Amino acid sequence: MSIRTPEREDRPVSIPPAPAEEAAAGNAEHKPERKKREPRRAKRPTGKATVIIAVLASIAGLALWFEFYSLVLTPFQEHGNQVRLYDAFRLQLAEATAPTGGAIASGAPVALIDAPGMHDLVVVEGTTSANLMQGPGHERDTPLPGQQGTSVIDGRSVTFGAPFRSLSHLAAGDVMDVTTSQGQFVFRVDRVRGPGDPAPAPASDAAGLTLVTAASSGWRSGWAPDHAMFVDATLTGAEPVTTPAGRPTTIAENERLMAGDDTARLVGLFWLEAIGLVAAGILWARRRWGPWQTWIVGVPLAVAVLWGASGILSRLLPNLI
Amino acid sequence: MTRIARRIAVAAIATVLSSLFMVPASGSSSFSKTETITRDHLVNGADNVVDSRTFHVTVDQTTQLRDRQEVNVSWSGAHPTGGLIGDENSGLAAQQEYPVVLMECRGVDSATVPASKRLSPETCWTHTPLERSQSDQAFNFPPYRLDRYASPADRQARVGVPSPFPSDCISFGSGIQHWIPFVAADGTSYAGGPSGCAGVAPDAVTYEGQLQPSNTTYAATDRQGNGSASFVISTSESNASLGCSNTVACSLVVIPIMGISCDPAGANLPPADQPPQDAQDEAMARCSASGQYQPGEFSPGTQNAEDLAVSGLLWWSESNWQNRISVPLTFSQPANICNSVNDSAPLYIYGSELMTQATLQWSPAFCLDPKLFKFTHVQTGEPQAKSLLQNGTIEAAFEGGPPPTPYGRPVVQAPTALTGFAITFVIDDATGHPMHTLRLTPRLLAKLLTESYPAAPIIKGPDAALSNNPLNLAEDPEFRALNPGPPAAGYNTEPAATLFSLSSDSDVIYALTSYINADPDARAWLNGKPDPWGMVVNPAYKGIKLPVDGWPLLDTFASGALYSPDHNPCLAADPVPFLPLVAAPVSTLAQITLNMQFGIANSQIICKNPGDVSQKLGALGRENPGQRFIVGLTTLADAERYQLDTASLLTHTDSGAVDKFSDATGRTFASPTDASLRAAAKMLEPNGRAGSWVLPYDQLRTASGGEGAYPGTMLVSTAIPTKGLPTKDAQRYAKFLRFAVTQGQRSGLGNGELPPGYLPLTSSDGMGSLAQYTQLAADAVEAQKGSTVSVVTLKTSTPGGGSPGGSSNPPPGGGSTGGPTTGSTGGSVPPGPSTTPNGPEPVLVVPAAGTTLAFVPGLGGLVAPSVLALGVFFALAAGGAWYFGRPKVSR
Repeated sequence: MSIRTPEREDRPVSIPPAPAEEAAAGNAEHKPERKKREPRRAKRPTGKATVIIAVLASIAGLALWFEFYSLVLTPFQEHGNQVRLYDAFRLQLAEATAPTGGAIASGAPVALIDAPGMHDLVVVEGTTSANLMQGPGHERDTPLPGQQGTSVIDGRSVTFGAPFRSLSHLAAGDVMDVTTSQGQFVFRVDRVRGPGDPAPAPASDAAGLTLVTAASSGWRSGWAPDHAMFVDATLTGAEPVTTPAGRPTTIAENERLMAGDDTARLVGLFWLEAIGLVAAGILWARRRWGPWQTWIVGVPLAVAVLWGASGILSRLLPNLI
Repeated sequence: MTRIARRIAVAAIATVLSSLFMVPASGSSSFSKTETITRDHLVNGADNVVDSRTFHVTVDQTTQLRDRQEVNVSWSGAHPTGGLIGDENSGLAAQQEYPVVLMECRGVDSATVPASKRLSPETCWTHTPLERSQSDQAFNFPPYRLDRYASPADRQARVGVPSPFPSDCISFGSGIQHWIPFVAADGTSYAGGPSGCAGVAPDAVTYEGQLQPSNTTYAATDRQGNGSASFVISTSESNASLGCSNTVACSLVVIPIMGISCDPAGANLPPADQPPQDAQDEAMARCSASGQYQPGEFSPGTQNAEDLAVSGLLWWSESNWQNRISVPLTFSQPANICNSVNDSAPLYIYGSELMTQATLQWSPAFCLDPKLFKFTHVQTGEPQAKSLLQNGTIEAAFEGGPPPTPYGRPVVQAPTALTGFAITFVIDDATGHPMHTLRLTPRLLAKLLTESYPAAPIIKGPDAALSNNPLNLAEDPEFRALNPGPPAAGYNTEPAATLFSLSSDSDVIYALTSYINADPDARAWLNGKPDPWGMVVNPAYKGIKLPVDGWPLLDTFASGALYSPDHNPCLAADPVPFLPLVAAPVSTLAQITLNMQFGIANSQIICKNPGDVSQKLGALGRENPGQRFIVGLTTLADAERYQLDTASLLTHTDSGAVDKFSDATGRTFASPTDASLRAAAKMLEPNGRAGSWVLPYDQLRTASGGEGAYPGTMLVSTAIPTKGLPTKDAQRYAKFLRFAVTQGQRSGLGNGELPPGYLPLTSSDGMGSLAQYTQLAADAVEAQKGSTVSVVTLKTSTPGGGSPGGSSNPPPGGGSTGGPTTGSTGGSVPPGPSTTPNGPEPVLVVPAAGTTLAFVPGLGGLVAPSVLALGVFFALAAGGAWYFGRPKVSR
């Protein structure tokens, strides 16, 4: 949302030299919504109205784009990452080079979850907003699944493919298969719990697995979560493996549940500048090259910077959404 | 336990031993007694005295005993021992000739108590079946049937054999049998028999090594008739079958074995029990035998080579038994008393093992006071406890240092105890006697931890990286320069090549590695610079970043010869790197303490059941006295409680001290004493960001006064949130904190007092501000308004905006239903085996007191609907503006 403010300031600055072209620039930028308004020159409003319309349309366009990006485009992004991670993890399992413990690089694949509604999800190490864009993330201060202690895995429930959307459909007794470099582990779900429910005792000798995502009910269900929900499961049928030493003992602020990633702010600023530059470039090109040439060059550029900026904006949002 | 007795004990400690830190619990309750012991045969109706001695025994402490405490027993005037066995506590040691047998028996020797409270061989504890059963299939008159002092009933062919005869014993059952059943505290009688075929007590074993070592001691007497041994007291906490406690009287029984006084004729016996004429000579020869071994001669280890008549196996025979000296013992309140006091839901505090000894003494003061409550210390690694506290899973944690990133919630870290870690050792010097002082440098500790000693010749040869390093610590010239005394060889080399340490994450490892990291010599060596004698770091650890919470095992060297089936079938079947097996860390400090007390080497290098499908690597096991060399990491309070020897650690090197030293000149070492802990406490610095006091390890070496400060010092704090706890719990935690810094800081061994190993947090010890902080913290915890207390200014600040640390995490969910979800105390002692055969104190696994937190996403959760609404609204607005704003003249 912080995108809006600079955007509004950009406009007045660029308007004076070419008020007439402004709306067109807006058009070029938000092509999915309005495509063919150019030719109807005769009906165009003029003067101050143009400015108002341009500003309103820009805001609407940006907002609708972000909505479109979050709900429609991010699943593709996540799917692409999952395919890449799956290949990498498969190779590591075959070569027995997948991590078993200690300090694991953030974003490295560590486990594979197969459960009702979740098919071969690759879990990555770390739980920042950015980690969870690639798939479910493993909390770095907990043991890996199958090791002694309770392993915690966070996942999104709305955007980026919503890998843990179906978590709320799990019930006690459901079985989850988790594959790590130490073998395949079968977990049985003990309970699904929400705020105020009794928390289980921390496991020390047994191996536990807790999956966490965001959830809500009523009209907010599925797209506007308002709390975290937990699914606790216990290893069955096998002895837990021992936990190697050297795990991090705390995690950073931005890896905690429902935390956004504040470090994305600075990067976001650069992306906003890029949007401004592209907008200015399109304006300039339209005058020099003509509308069609600008269209061809401008649309990919505009989509690219908008996509990038939206990705950064998503990192500022809570990581479980 | 009377108040006066306690005062006397405290006064004695205060006056006699005030300057010493390592004090035995009391000096005022020793015991000594002298008696004449003889061996006299009855030959043709006349006494034939073959040996008579004046036996004198002293025991240094007999009252207020606690579980696993060691008492020292020394004697003079006993018959010198032959056929020596290294491990005096093993069942095999009973085969020595003329040992002095020390055993713990239920009951007392007194004519004034009812028979059920008197001791007899049947209430004396032994660990293995052979120690209380004899049988002979070949000869009908073994020495115990000729014992002139035994009753006619005891000289029958079959004694103590239950009827009907137990079916499991059929294969052992023929011939002469003499079994001494064991009567457990609950009245159950276990007949025992050969190999325990008729059943043994739950705490006994049918073969050695199943449980912790026995306390029954077959001690050796030297050629002058003198000897000493330390005897480990067992209470009902570690031996429920024997069942000694503050309500069940027990005795330490000392039996100097003199041999059987023989009566070959058996004139007063029924004819069936009299040796026939043709057997009398052989029976007398066996019974009057005086030993196969010279005094002090070691047994080759073969079975039954000794003369049974003078061996420890016949301790129960009346000739020996009548010579006993029984020492009445009294015990202090059991540490697990709270388990059986009441069923109310306890208050849980998770975390540091550094606090175990303190909470053992504190918890009875709480649970026995009807106005207070029950609290339970659940021992976990500190990093885990801190993480659980951060997540809201638990309500309070003992920590050995602040978390690396500050808590994301309002939490006070109230100083609770000043203690530390200890490097303990069991090392015998060149004369075979235990050493009591040891000097260690951070570099030596780094060498032990980094698997840089090759440990075994089979590694030292092939592993090029380590081939120039000394085999183990004992051979290291740096160690030998500082510690003259131990021979360089003659040990099991593997345990001497490692520091027996923790596999789990712990603040103790963090403190230890901080100390190592702050030493320039150790750091340079870790970075690859060889020490002055040429030893280098294991390349797997070169440049390792310290400090760490958990010590990683990084060595991966695999030697071909090591994995050949001839060498070790287990390793051949499952080739894993060797040095991590030597290190063999364990997950609790309590386990290390246990191993150090009994001198058990944990290196997992012995192939058990080789060739069998069940073959697996096991621990090296108990080392032989006289040849022990183990160094381990324990808590200071455990070391005090179990009287383990602690090493002095390097604190200061003079600028003129030589690098390649040959003695300790120019180097200062600090051992853990009250004074050295006090010196370290003076150096604690408040750190506002961390919210706690921390020890500046780099200044220990440089600051004035630092050379006297014990580097293992650690401040234990109790971390408790000041917002979100249920009111009742908050009030209890506040009470606990106030107790901990007032009454709980009085030194002593009674309920609610601070045991040795902790320095009281008082202003006289220079820690007044720490105690003051805890008082303020208690107020903040009780109020539950989210306030914090500054460690720098000692001022409480109640939040106007934002919690410290800038967290966006909400406080725990407002539900006031908190408190444990199940009321089970998990502590009722089941009948049968004791609850803790292996561990000293039970690590209670209990339900946490937490509820699931809400973790609300705030406005972030509404992004999708609100952005959509925004887009639609502005789109409509733009459309409207376009519609109404267009020129109307176009047509």
